[in-house]
Amino acid sequence: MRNCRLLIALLMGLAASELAMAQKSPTPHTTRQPKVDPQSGLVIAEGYNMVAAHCSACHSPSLITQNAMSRERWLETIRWMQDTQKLWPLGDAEPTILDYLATWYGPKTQSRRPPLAPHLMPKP
Amino acid sequence: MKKRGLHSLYAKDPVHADEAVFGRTSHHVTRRGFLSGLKSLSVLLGAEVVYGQFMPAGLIPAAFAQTDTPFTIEGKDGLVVLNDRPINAETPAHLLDDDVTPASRLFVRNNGIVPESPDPKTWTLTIEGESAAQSRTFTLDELKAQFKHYTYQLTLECGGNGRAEFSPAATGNQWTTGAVGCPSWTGVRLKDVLNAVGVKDDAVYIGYYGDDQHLSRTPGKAAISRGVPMSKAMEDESLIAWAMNDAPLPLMNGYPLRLVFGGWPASTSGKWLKKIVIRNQVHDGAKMLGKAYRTPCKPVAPGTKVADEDMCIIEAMPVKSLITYPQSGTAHALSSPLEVRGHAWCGSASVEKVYTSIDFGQTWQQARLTRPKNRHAWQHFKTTVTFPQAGYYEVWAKAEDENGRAQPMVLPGWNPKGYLNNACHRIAVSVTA
Repeated sequence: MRNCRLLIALLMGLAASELAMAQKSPTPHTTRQPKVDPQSGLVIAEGYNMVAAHCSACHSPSLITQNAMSRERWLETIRWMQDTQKLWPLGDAEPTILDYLATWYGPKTQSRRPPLAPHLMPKP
Repeated sequence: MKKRGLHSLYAKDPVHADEAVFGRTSHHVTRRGFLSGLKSLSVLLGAEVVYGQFMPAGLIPAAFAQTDTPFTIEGKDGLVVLNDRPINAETPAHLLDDDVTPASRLFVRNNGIVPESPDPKTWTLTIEGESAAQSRTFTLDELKAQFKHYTYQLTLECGGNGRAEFSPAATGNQWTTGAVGCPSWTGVRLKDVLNAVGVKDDAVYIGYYGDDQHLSRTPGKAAISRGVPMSKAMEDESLIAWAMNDAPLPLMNGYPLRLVFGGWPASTSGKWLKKIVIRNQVHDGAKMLGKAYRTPCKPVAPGTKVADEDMCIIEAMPVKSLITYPQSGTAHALSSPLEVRGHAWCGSASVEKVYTSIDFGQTWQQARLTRPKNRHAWQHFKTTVTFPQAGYYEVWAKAEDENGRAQPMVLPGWNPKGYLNNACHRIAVSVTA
C-alpha cells in the first residue's frame, strides 16, 4: 500500500497542472460520448472490467482518467509499476488493458503550443 | 539521374523539375495546369490529384514536402501546397531569408479561380461607387502615364498565417509560418488615383473587385471583394501595383494589376484588380461580412461560439518575427557560436527590439535590428548565440514594437477563424559536442 501511495504522489507531482487540464471528458472534436462509470470515472467499454480489477486494486482510477498516453507509454508505465511498485503480471489481460487505455486515455490532441512539427526537428 | 533534393530541383527550374520528377508538363505561358503526366504524379502520391489541371507548375505537393521520401533531402527552394483548388501555398521559414522576398518565394493565397490569361494591353481599372465624384476607367498604360510611380518594400501577411496552431482547431487553410513576405512593389499611389477621380466627403471605405472567378464559376459572384477604410487607402504607401521586384507581377500574385496595403491582412490587397468602389459605408463585399477576416470584438475563451454581430474587422496585423536562418532541425557544433537571423514586422508601427532565447523564454538576449526601408517594410535582425552544452535547443524570437507590445510565447487570443497568431517563432537546433 505504501508503494501505491508513492506511485500516486510521483505521478501527480510530475504533471500536476497538466492533469487538471486533461481531466475534461472527450475533446470537443470527438463525437464519441462514452458512458462513464459514476463511481470510478472510468469509461465503460471493452476492457473496463479488467482495468477496474487490476489497476484500481492499488490506486485510484483517477490516476488513469487524468492521464493521456500512447499505447507504448501506457505499457512503459505498467512495466515501471511491475518493476518498482509491486504490480503483478497482467497475463492475457495485458493487451486488452492496453487497448482500453490507449483508446480512451490516448495522447492529448490539444495544446496551447504544440511541440515543433516532426519535419522541423533535428534528424536522429 | 543523380539523386537530388526535390527542393533543389525545383529551385533550379520548377517547370523542368515538374517534368523530371513527375513527368508532367504545364502550359508554357501561364505555367498552369498539367498537359501531361498527371498519372505518374498520382501514382507517386498514392492518390488522384483532383483538379490537377489547375495546379501551377513548380509547386511541390504537400504530401512530399514534409515526408522522408527520397525527394525531401533538404534543398533550397519550393513552396508547400496547402490546397490545390483554390491554389494556396506557403514558404518554409528558411526560404524567406532574403531581405527582399523574391517572387518565387512569395506565398500564394487564392480565394477563387485564377484568370486564364490576363492581357495587360486591354486591361482596365474602373473607379466608381456612391462616394466617387464620377466613374472613370483607366487602361493600364493610362495609369502608368498619368500618375507618378512609387516603389516601396511592403510586407504582406495572410490574416490566417499561423492558423495551424489553433486549438480547438480553426477551419481554413492550415498556414504554419510561411504566409508572409516582403517584396518590393512598384505602382501608383491609390490616393493619387482616387483624388483624380474625386472623393466625396462622405467616403468611409474602398472596396475592390478582381478578375478571379468564384470557385463555383457562378457568373457575377465574387470570390473575394474586400477593402480598407479611407485612412488606410490614403496612405502614401498604399499602391496600385503592376510590378514586384522590378518585374511584372507573377500571375499567382495578381498579374497584371493589384492593390498593396502593407501591414494589413493580405486579403485587403486585391489581386487581378478590375474595379475599386469608393463607399459611403463599410464595404460589404464577399469576405467582408460574417466571420471572414474578423475576430471577436471582445476576447473569448478558446472554443467559444461567437455571433456574427460580435465579430470585428481585422485591421493592422500584430507585431511578429520569423527566424529564417538557420533552418529548423539543424545540427550545430558546440564549439562555435551560431548566427541567428530573420525578419520582424508590425502592421501599425515600427519594430523597436527583437530578442532571442535559447532556454524556452527564461532569458532573452537582444539582437541587432535594422530600421525599415520604408513604412510597412519588414526589418532584419541578427544575433549570435552560444550554447552552454550539447543537446536539444529551441531558438525563439520575440519582437517588440515601438509601443512596447511584444509577441506572446503561446497562442494569443483564440478566435473562431484562426487569425492573428503572432506567437513567437521557434526553431529546433541540435547542438553536438
